[in-house]
Amino acid sequence: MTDWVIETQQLYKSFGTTRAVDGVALRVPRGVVFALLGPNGAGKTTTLRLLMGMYIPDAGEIRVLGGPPGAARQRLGYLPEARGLYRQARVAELLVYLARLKGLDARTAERRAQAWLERFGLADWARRKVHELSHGMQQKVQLAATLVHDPDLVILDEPFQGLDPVNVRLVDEIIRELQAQGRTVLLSSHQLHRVERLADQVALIHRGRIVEHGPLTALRRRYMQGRIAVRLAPGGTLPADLPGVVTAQPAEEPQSWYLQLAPQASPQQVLFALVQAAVPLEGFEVVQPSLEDIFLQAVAGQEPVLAAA
Amino acid sequence: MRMRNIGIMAAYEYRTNFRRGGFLFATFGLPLLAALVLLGIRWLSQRPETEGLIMVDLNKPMLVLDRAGLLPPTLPEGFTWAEDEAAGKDAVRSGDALALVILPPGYPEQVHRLQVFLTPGAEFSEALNRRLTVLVAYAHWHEVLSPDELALLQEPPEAEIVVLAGQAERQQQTQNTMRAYILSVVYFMALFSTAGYLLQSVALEKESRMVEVLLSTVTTWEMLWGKMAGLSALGFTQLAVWVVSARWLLGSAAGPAMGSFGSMSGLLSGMDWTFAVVAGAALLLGYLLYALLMVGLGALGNNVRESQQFSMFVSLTGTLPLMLGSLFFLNPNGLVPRVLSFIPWTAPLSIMLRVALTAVPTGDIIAAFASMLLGVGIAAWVGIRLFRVGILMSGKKPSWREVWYILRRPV
Repeated sequence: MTDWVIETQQLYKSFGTTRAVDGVALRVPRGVVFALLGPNGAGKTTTLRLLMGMYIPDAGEIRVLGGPPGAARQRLGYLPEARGLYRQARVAELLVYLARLKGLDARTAERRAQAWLERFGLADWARRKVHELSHGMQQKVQLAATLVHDPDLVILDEPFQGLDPVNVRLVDEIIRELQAQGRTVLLSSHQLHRVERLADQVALIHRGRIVEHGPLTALRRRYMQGRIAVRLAPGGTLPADLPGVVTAQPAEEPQSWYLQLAPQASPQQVLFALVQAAVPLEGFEVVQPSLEDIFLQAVAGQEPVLAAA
Repeated sequence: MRMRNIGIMAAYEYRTNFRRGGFLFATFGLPLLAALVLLGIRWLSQRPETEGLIMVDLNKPMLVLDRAGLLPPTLPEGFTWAEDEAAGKDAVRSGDALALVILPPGYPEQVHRLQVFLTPGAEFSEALNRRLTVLVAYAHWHEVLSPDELALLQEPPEAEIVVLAGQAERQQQTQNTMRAYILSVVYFMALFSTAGYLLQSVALEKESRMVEVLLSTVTTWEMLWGKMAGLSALGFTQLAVWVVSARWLLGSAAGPAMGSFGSMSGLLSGMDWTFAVVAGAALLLGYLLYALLMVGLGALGNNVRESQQFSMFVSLTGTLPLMLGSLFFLNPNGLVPRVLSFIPWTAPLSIMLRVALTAVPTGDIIAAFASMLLGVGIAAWVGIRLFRVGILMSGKKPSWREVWYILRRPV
């Protein structure tokens, strides 16, 4: 029997006439990196706030870490989208304060805060005030505050927002470490390309509804678009009448093409034909659909809203 | 609700706000300034030349120079002939005489004004005017009046002065007024500074964008009570520092300069138990009422300034009893003081002032407390609702219409 860390059923939440969450059903198994993806205003943050117990749902059921939302706050680390720190607070003091609110005793809180500051290269800044830190340093402190109490479930709302490439890599590393430790990470983001290299499972949300969900590999298979990328050796030419190929579109690189297959055709069939025709192949790859492709297909027919990631 | 979290939060709020420059100045700087002012008053009052400046002996003689030829050789008691104008002015300057009065030639037919040269400080003395009247009357009527009648002019007419309240009663009444005034100012400062800290603290959570981190850690109730406990303790610390400072300042530093209110014990000695109980309970309920409202209103703005705009109405109406203080002092049981005692957020200050000033009907006290209790109930409902919804709102400041919507919808 699967151990669900988060489980929701028919979750609804409206603000006035706007329905922010419309029948969301989610199941997040233990130990995975789960991505809740969708454009801005799709209902991601409201869903997370419902999971955190900050909002009371209009209808539906929520269980987080085996209990009602809010019951397991001390086992949960949350990095909100709208984040900040007390500007006048001292870095270590603030981390200790938040760790103590998460249930740690004073000594353990101090030890953990120091360890995370060292991990992020901020040990020398422990006694400085927050406003003396650079933007990047403050983001690291925010991440440290999320993780200082060793949570079982980590919820990161738009974790890459406003980060420089160095800190993006740092967040990637941390998420992978958490995953390796068997912790569950729930990511929410509108930057689909950043998440697809990290997530095991995804749920795509649009206008408050989950339009697609499941393991990423399964989704990719399901949304395979029948495209093949081929690259030929210099001087090689692509035969005009390849069986199973509907169109051949030149790619950006020289001697490269995207081949769109007919619905019943298979990549193997095309490869066989190319080899038979003695075409000098340098590359042959079945094109995987990106999360953005999957999202666009999933919401096809609905109003296009996806911002360029 | 976990008491541990409330305690940690209260301690953090107390510690961090205690270290703020504004708090340190208000708590310790103001008494220090007051000490300097009072010590200055005390020092000034002990300087001999200062006594000369402010003390005027109205019993000293008045010098007279009659250039109109109106007065007889014998002057009434309290008046002496001046040798000449210069000698008379010297006597006035040296303090030997209260004033030099010159009846100019042609007075009063051609010239209508007397010339009067005074010692500093005696300009507006009623006694001086009275003595001038005696002199002029004497000049006009010494020829037509008999010696006995003239003797009557030398002394002002005797009158029986009837004091309606006894001396002790009048003293008590004055003390009551002073006490009510001082306590209402202290009460007002304590109440609004503490409620103001709460408003700022809640608004700061939004401004600093820490609120979601906190709400992922503690419940709304824990956050609310943690803040209220920490900042109440801070407010009462401030109050305690002020009271202790006032006791020291009034009792020792400036005692001689402060007359009968020179010691705190003097200020508090006339306080009866009814007043103590009413004032204490009103302070507690008033604090709860304002704190809950400020917590809710603080959550509506995106920053401290916007939140203060929302709280303006509550703060301004709360000061009404102080602004209308003269009505309370004139007639504590009058219509306006009574009405203000029954409005929840003006009731705490109003009833405290009235009880300090006079005997208030028991029915009025009960009605005022009923109104305060009702007010606390409404403030809890409104404040907590606004807090729960407002604390997570961002973007533009909600209109009053939107605030009304928030109050009606489920949270």
